[in-house]
Amino acid sequence: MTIRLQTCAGCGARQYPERDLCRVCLADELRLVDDHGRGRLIAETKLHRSLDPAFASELPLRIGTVALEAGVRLIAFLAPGAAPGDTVVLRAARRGEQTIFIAEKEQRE
Amino acid sequence: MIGGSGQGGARDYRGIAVACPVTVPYVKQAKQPAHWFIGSALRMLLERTGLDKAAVDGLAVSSFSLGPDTTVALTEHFDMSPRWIEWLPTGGASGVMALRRAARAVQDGDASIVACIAGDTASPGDFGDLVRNFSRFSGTAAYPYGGAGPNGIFALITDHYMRRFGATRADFGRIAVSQRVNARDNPNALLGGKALSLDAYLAAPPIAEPLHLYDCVMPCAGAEAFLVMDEARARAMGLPHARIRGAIERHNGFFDDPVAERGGWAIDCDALYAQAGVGPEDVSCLQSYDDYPVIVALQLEGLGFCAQGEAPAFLRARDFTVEGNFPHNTCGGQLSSGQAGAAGGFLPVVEALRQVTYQPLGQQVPGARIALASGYGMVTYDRCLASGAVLVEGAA
Repeated sequence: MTIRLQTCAGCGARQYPERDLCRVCLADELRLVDDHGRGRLIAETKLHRSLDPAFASELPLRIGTVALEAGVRLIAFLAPGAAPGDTVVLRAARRGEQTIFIAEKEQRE
Repeated sequence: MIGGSGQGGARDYRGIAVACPVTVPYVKQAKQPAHWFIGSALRMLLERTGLDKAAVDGLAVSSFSLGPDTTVALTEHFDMSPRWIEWLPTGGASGVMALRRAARAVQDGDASIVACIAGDTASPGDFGDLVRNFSRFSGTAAYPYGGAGPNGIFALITDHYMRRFGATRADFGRIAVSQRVNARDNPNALLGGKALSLDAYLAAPPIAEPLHLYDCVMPCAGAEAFLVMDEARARAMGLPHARIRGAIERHNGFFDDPVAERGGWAIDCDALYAQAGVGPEDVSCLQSYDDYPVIVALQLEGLGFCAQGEAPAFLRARDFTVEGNFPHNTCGGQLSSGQAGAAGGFLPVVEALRQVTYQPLGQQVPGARIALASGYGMVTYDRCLASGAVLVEGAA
């Protein structure tokens, strides 16, 4: 499973959320590069309220903070079974016009 | 040093007076726009001091709901011709930042009397609109995950803090409950008349677990303001005032922490007390930025009252009420008063000034001499970026 992360062709830094220049060296050499999307789930919350009516029917829903091995952090929806401390893998999905991430507990073979 | 350089060598704030704390009463919802609240605060500053409007030659303003206007547009609304203005779209940190900037302007002679004002209106739907359009990052990388706004972000910060440092909900409950006691005699605290027990805190409905109802501030409308001027002028006018012993700010500190578990205060804490020539033990009362109880914990740690991770034990060992051994958020803070938008970022400074000049809205800390006011603002993605703090001392 892969996601795509903005990566600087100049210094190699990866970043999220996407920016307009490299956050480290400010170079205008950003590319979207495949990443395995593996990281650790370090915090979770179960949302019972939303400011957006579009989410009303899905509450409660779980989101979490994932520290990717790639050195960036992001917020993702949590698949059932993913708990803080777990190694998770991110899956990209479409929601409306947006690409969103879902964190799933890594399945060990 | 992570996330920025130190600020050793900053000039002191000698000769500067902070005076005339005013509060435009908070209301849950308002028909009047932000301009009304800010202008009303200005009128109160003039009424309290007898100053002519034309004598106010500096104006620093903070607001979320003033758009599309900024400070300069207000000069036209209020027929003013100041020679110095400042615009502070930095929410929870804007009180400390306004104070610092105004003090330097007066020290340097760019202004003689600066009105520092934060005000916001509130109507149904406003808060959702503000959250949706708050920043590019929150729009692309936070809001799509449930649209919970700051409740969702601070739930993650709270969850992480509880796991990492062993804090319990009851620890955070001590903050909310003690502030409700402090709010009791404050007529401006929208929730001041409603007692809150620890049991009621723990039994409250969940909002974004581990956050429950009484961890979250209630959005409202209102304004907070104060004046900055030369100390000789304040004395000549007979205004009770405070001196600035030390002040710091920091932006995007510790940006590599995967979840916020420290705030920028921790970078500059030593510089703050060194500039002031006092220590945490000299602080009569702490006015912290209480958007969520976990952020109070980060301020206790970052401002030198206890080590990182020790706020839960500190909370259990102290009494945070006005008459306790660690008076904290003595007017009830935002958790009991309501969060009047950017005025919430002025509240710690205004309440600190009230306490050290003995002009409280509610209860007075006995013997208050030095107050520490802290700010924290702008959750543009997954934490607030701006932090600051100021130590003020009442002038005898």
